[in-house]
Amino acid sequence: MSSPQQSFQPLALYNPALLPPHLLLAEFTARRPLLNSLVEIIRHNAPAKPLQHALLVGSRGMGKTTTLWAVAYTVKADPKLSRQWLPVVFDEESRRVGDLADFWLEALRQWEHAANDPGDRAQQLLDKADANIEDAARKAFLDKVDRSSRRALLLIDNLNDLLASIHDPEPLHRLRAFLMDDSRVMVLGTATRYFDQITDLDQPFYDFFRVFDLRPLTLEEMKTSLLALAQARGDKSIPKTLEERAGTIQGLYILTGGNPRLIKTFYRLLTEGLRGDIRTDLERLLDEFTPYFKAVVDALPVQQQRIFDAVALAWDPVEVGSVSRVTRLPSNQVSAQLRALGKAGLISEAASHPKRKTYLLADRFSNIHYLMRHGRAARNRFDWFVALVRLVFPDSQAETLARLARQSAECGAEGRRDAKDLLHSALARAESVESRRQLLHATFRESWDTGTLASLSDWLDLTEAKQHMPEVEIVAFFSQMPRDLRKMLGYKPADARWWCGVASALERREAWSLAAAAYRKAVELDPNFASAWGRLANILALFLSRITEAEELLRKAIEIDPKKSFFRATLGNVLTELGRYAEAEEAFKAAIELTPDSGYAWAWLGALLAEHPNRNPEAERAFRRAVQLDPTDDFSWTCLARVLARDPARISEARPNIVKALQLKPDDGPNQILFNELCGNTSTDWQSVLPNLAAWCAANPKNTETFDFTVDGFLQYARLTKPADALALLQALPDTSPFETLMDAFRAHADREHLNRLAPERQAIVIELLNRFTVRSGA
Amino acid sequence: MKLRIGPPVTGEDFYPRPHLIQTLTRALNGGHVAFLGPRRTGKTSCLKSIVANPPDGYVPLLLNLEKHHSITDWLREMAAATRIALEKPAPKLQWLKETGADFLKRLEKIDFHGLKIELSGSKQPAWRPAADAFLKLLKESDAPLLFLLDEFPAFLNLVVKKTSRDEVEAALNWFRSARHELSESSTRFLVTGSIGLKSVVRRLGLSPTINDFDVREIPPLKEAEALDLLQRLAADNNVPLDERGCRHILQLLGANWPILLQLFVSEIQDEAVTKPPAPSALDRLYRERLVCGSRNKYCDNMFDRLKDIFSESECRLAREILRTLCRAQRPFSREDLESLHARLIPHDAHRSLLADELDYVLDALKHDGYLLQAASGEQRTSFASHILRDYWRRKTA
Repeated sequence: MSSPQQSFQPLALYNPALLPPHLLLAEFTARRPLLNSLVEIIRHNAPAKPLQHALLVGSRGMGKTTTLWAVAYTVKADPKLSRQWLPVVFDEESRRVGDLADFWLEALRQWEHAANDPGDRAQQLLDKADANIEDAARKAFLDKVDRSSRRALLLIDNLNDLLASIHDPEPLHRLRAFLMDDSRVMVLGTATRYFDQITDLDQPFYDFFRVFDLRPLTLEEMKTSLLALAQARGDKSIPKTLEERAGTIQGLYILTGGNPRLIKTFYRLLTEGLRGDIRTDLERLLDEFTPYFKAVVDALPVQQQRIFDAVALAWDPVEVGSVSRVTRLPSNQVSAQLRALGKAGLISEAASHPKRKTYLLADRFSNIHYLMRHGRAARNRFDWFVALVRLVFPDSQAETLARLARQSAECGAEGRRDAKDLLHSALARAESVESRRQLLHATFRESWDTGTLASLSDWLDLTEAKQHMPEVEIVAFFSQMPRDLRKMLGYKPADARWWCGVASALERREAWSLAAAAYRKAVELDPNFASAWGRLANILALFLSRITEAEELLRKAIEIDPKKSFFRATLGNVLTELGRYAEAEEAFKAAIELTPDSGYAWAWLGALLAEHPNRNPEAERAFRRAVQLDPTDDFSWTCLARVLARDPARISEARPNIVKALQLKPDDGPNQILFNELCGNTSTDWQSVLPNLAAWCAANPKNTETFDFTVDGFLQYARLTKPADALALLQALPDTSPFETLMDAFRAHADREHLNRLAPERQAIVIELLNRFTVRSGA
Repeated sequence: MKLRIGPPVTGEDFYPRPHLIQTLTRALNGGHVAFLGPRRTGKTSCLKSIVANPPDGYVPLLLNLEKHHSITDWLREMAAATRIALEKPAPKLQWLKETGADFLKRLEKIDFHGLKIELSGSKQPAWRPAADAFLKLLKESDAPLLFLLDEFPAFLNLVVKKTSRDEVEAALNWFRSARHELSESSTRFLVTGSIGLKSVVRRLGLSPTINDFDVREIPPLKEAEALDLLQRLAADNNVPLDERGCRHILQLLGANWPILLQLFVSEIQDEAVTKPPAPSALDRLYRERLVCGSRNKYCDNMFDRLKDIFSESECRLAREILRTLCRAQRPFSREDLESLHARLIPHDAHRSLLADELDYVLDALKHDGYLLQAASGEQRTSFASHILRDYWRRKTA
């Protein structure tokens, strides 16, 4: 019966007329006994006998209109009934009836529509403007009915509105008399509640209709309804869902209050997930579902509104005493008003201890709406939305909420506020520490490689989040990092190696504390992650001055991975800092023993040995080995130069080493100082380093210290040779832009006229440079 | 017998009330009848039963007057109904065979539009001449016509709203004199309606215009009848219900009005039970559906409307009666009610000024469906149904 296409049919929550007849009837299960009763009544409404008319009473979403259509389709499909009756469904929202004449005109129009009659007789009567249009319209309508050899089954939504529109007793009596005496027309109407025209003893239609209450579905009926929906639409997952998620279904039942329209909406959520449009549907449903409720509440006397508000915000059943305390109204007044509100159908008594009555809002879904819209603290307004999501998606609530928060945060300032409130509510309502952490991880994962993470602090309370997940700070730091980097790293907080990668990235940005925290996270996840222990110790030792702790961590790393020389070498450094030189030497030697080719181990051993002048030769050997193994490490070159320079006779031997060090790391301050000491007066040494320095300055224009050193270097070179040579050296650079002014100074030195060609501000600097050059050179 | 809630019932759906019909017939033989009772108690159904099985020698004409708002329309309908009945090709009464044709001819000549007759200086309504002509015709031809005028009080109200009290007074006066003139003839009138005739005319100050009617009130079913009705409804509508359940229903309702019995069976039907409900289940249905559920608004309305239909003093008396009666161990006698009135108005002289207040209030409460007075014995007064009684207990607790 069902086909794949049927799963794409609209659920037609608000307009059952959109559903194809076979689908509407296939899904019409929960109220099937009612449908059968109504059809039996129609069947037994014989001609020439007073007819039984009927009325369906139920609040919004209970299935009144759907039932009317179900009756219409059933009658049309029944061979015998369809010969006797033509179902005529009035437009649900028709506002055309103002009096009894309008009613007959409308009946005429709707009959023509139902019978595919192009007549438009109603318009003809209106054009004629007959003084007795009511009689004319009724006669025209009955003419058509008679000619069809059938009788009219008028299916009228909101019958209470129609009767209220007519309102005058005289035409109402006429209508009643007609319906009592004439068996050609049967009325099956709907209303959202019992109304005066049928309950008031003095009204013509008092007890005129057989009334069927459309009560909320029971839990079993709800399950049957969901199964029928699923079967009709070919959804195979629902039966399994109903079996596996009994708790969810029970919770859904409580929240929906057995309302068929809400049940259908949740069916859609179960099968399609919470996409943006579904969220909109849910919010729309909440909005649309309670306008009458809102109008009713707004019309209440002030005191009742206050009491209503107190009960609604409590959500759970409350006693009179609680309401009295909150509202500061006397208990007897509260009791009286609660009774009045109960009479109005807004509040009901909860099943509780017989001697201590408790009260709650009668319509539970409206209670959710009220809390969402009127919660005292703005942050409460998402509490119930969160509760709904948790209920419908217990297995993926964190991901769902995170996605909603991210989507919201992408919608501007208001959206970010909503996202913040939503996440706050979700965190507050989480059942455990673990679920809070899951939510936060889901939130970060959801927005990790999106632009939204950049505004994280706007839509997530980081202080609150940190209470639940200390590593929030690290993630928040990444919100300032390039998106590409985040994309490359991915978000894998359960992976220790991922935290290592994060820590490396943080190290490169010299965020030492955060990097340490990231390494700590890595070892928390994997206590045997030796590398993480070692690197953590390295940061603690080198950048955070926590030497003692670093030693402990390094020994742990060595314990885990005894063969890794890096840990022993780093331990040597730490022991050196602690003044335990003999142990440090042993550590370095042990590292070298493990990895004879470890350049840094040799370098640090050399550094240790260099501390003791009587061990210079050993230090020299260590450094030479280090530079041999790793020619790119400027530290070793510098240390070698320093050791050699201790012997004045070996300064010339030291100089190439510091030149090499400075070439490798132009911006290193100690390198610059040592170079000045050893090579400052050697033009060839300057000639060797100045191109590297200049290139570095061009690539790092913000570093003024190295730039100044470079400028001084060119000036010194000019002094040692001549300005023209310095100029020639500058001109040979691929990028001279940082040194244009310096070049001007050398030109001006040769040609004073050159000064006059310069702009005044450049002139001033050139003059300053010339002065520096002159003073130093004594020229 | 199908469940029918709201419309008048006919044929197999009508529970026969031979004794009641016989009472009405006997009363009609002696004069004109006002057939009174609360709304939805089956008066129209009884009239339809009379039409289906007319008393010997009568041509019954059932007219629903609520669709009219003028005396002319009423008269016109009486004439039209007469014409239709006489023109029917059915076996006719002897009278009809003999004088029917002549009657029709004379009837055609009466102008019910009332426009042609003009009497200068006369305050006579325009319809009067036609009415008198019609009356004369009826009297002279001794037509055995039984006019069953349904919704007569509602019609009077509509006429008041549409025209004036004077118009109603004129019509009722004419109608009274017509009844008087026809008292020795074969024509008879029976009036009934879904709102109280006495309260309508009393409000208009026209009580004397109806005091010649032989008043007959529709009683509830006897217990045996009620049980039988319940069992038949259950059987014919596939509702599981045993005798114990039926008796329990009667005990709960406290009044054997057919509509209440129909309502209860329909609630059981809606439950879709597969076996006869136990008394506890019936208790729950009674409580949740009838007292607190669907009937609750009706009860609220009944409570609120007292101040609309009564003066302040009458309303106070009515509320006191209902408040006390709902807690009484047994129905009230006349003495009980007079004592209650005396408690409210202790001063004898003051109370005598309001001589008919108690009677009027009781009458109104009966015809509005609050109270029921037993037809025999001490004619004690009780609540017309336990639904209202139990509602009052809760309301005035």
